[in-house]
Amino acid sequence: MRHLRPPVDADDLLSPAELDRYAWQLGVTDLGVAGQRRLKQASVLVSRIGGVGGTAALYLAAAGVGRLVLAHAGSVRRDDLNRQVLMSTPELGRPRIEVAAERLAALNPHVVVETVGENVSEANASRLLAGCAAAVGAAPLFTERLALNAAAVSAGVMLVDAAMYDMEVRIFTVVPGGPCLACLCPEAPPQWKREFPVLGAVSGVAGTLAAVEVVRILAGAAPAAAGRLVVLDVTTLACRQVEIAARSGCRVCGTRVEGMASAGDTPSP
Amino acid sequence: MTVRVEYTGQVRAAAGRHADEVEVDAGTSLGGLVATLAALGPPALRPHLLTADGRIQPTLVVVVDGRAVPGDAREALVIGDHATVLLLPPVAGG
Repeated sequence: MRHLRPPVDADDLLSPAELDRYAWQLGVTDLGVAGQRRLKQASVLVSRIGGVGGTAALYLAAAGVGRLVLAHAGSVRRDDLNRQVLMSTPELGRPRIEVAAERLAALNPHVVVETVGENVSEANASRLLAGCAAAVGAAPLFTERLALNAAAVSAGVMLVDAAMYDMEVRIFTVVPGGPCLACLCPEAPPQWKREFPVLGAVSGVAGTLAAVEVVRILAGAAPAAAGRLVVLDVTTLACRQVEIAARSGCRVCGTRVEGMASAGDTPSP
Repeated sequence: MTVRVEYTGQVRAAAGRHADEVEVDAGTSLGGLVATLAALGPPALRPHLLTADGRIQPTLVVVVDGRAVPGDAREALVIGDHATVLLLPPVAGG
């Protein structure tokens, strides 16, 4: 047998071409053929497609997530190119989402890529999340991350918040019923600056870990970072995991209703 | 008594180092420790640790001996000898 995949017949959901494309991952722990089908049926919102979100989107597309919604304003700049792996030098000046959509379509034509030339905000977050089973928060501003968090908690959508700074990577997953990003960071920190030290390989680690977390969630596995802030220092490879308690009186998750959706469910638009 | 303080993110950058071993009086609270760090460190460190009125920054996650200390409890929390205090400012690098 050429690959490690179990014998499986093509069906209405996974075509022969898709089974061939994903052959090397169908034997992966927590994925399998059933998980691959769940990926195909799932939609994921990626908030910003820069160094972190772009890497996450790349691997989510490669893995076969059925529909990706990419939200990012602005055009490709030269100083994006040290980390934004979906972009390239000939595309300088073009809208980032156009370039990303072309890159992802070339990588995997089985993925539906929807693009939104806006950054996530309180005004559009719920709309962008409609129909999504999971989201990746990768914006460089806390206002965007917190807006996505509020909408995700409200809709019962799993949120993987992935961030980095210098040589640190952080992952925090918000699941229904668990602490949310506002429990961890109730407001935009006044000290945070939009420009931060970033090596592309480090933001790529953050995006890759986020993609792994999302794929596992969609496949039906338990999130690795649910309610837990994972901090990876890439200079030593030391990894800390800090349990985060729901904040008493959290304005976002403290008033939520019971009966939220689980991974794979698709909330009504 | 001795407390080990570990810095991350922008706090590490502002402090200019990864960690400190700090000598404080027995019975020192977490609020007192953080105020001491702000006083001893470079001026750029203070706003990452304290609000203008001298309280621990509400967005700063403080972890004592591996456990995150909730905001409403941490100012008065008494630190033990040889405790390890990890300071985790929120980051949003994307």
